[in-house]
Amino acid sequence: MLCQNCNERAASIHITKIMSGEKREIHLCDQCSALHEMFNSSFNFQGFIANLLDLEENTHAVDYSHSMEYHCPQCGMDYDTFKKHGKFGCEKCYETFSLLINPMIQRMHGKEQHIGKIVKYGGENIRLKRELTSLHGNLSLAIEKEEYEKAALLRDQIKILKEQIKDNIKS
Amino acid sequence: MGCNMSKNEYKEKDIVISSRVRLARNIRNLPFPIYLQSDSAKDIVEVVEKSINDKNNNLTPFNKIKVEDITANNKKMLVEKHLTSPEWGRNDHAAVFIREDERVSIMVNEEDHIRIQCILDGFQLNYAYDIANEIDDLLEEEIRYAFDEKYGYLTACPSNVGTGMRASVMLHLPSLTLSNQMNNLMQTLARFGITIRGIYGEGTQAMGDLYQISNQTTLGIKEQDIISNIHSVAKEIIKRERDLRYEVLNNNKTYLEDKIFRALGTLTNARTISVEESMKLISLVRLGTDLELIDQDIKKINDLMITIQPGILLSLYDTADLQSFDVDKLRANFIRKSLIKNT
Repeated sequence: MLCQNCNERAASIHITKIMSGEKREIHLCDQCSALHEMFNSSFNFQGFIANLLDLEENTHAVDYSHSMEYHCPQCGMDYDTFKKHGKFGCEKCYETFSLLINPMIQRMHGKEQHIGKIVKYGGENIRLKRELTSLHGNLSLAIEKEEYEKAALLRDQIKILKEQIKDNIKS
Repeated sequence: MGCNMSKNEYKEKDIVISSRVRLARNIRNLPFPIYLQSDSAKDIVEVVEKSINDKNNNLTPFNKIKVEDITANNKKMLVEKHLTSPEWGRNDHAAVFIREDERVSIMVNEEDHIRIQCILDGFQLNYAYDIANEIDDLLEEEIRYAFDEKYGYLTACPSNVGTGMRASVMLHLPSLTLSNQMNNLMQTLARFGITIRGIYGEGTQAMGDLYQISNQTTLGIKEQDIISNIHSVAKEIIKRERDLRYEVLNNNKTYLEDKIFRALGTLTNARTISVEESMKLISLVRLGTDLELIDQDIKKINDLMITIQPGILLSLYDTADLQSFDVDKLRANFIRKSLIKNT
């Protein structure tokens, strides 16, 4: 087996990591594992983000080379700068580098979808969509329990909500 | 519910020093502070000021402090009081709004445009969140936040994305520290997405046996669940610390009393003392007070642990020539005056 980091030498060190309940195996050669240890021994956040990104770059079959050349159209941030500092330049960076950072964020938090507070202004449709998801859940439950009257009611509510979301997008 | 809850939470004040909630927010369509032009940075300070000073909002008044206006020592003092961060002091365009009672602070142009923070005495995370959340809503009347359906509140560092919320409690854990159980605890907590670290001082060597427990993850979890996670973990640690305190008291009273009274003796007699030594000894006096071995006011001891930090201590003395002060001597005097009245 080849080292995942350099892809040149044979892997001699096999690390199993459990982060946020997810098991991951890393296979490295002697040289790269020394480097890996150096990064991991003294915990620093910037290094942590760079490590996570390295891992993504090296373990995924997706070709990142193209998107690594991206510059954020709003603030001009490039991928290398982000990797070095572990901080974005603006909100748009999340979109610009999404392909590269989505797996990293998922690994960092163990989750990838916000379920907390929603902004008061401009968050109306997000709120409605959450409500929609919960109504869908209730509908399945009602059908399962053969409560068809309740199900019909829920179906009507879902229909209204969907139209409301559509109207909001139009306006 | 809020009222009863905070009363119950406050009961743990023998071990819980304070509770803190911080919300990170950014303004839509503006680069984050590191890439921000100075004009825009000033605009943000203004808009925040306008929101909190609005006569209709009934908020307790806030004082504004700009980084460019304050001395290096006052920067240090604000960090020691947990009202700002070291990073805040490095940005020339940063400002902070501090509520008169120093329980609430709003940092502007730190790592994120806005960081709302509330610190309360004792175990009152829910109440601290309510206060921070109220200010968040208030600011939103003037400001449109950078927000994404998937990632929630967008922050400069992806480690804060989602709720943008960090909730923490400061615990006094002398017995767990003395019995070398802290490292073990740290490893266990990491598995639950919760971090524990020393408050003052670096690494695992926590000054004064004070530790901060906080959430590590901010995405894919509701604000209330972040709070209840910290809550239940803290409760468990509190129980362990308390059990251990009484175990030592029952099995080794003379040894414990000796340690505590020697600490009190040194603190009430020293003529010069470092912050490290004071913190170590005050921690023992705090433990002795809680176990009713000595008669001191626990609130006063909590305050003392903060006040003897170098920046805060010096800020009490109104002088331009701080260099000529012997801080260790000042500290010894200050501690003697604070403790001697009760002994």
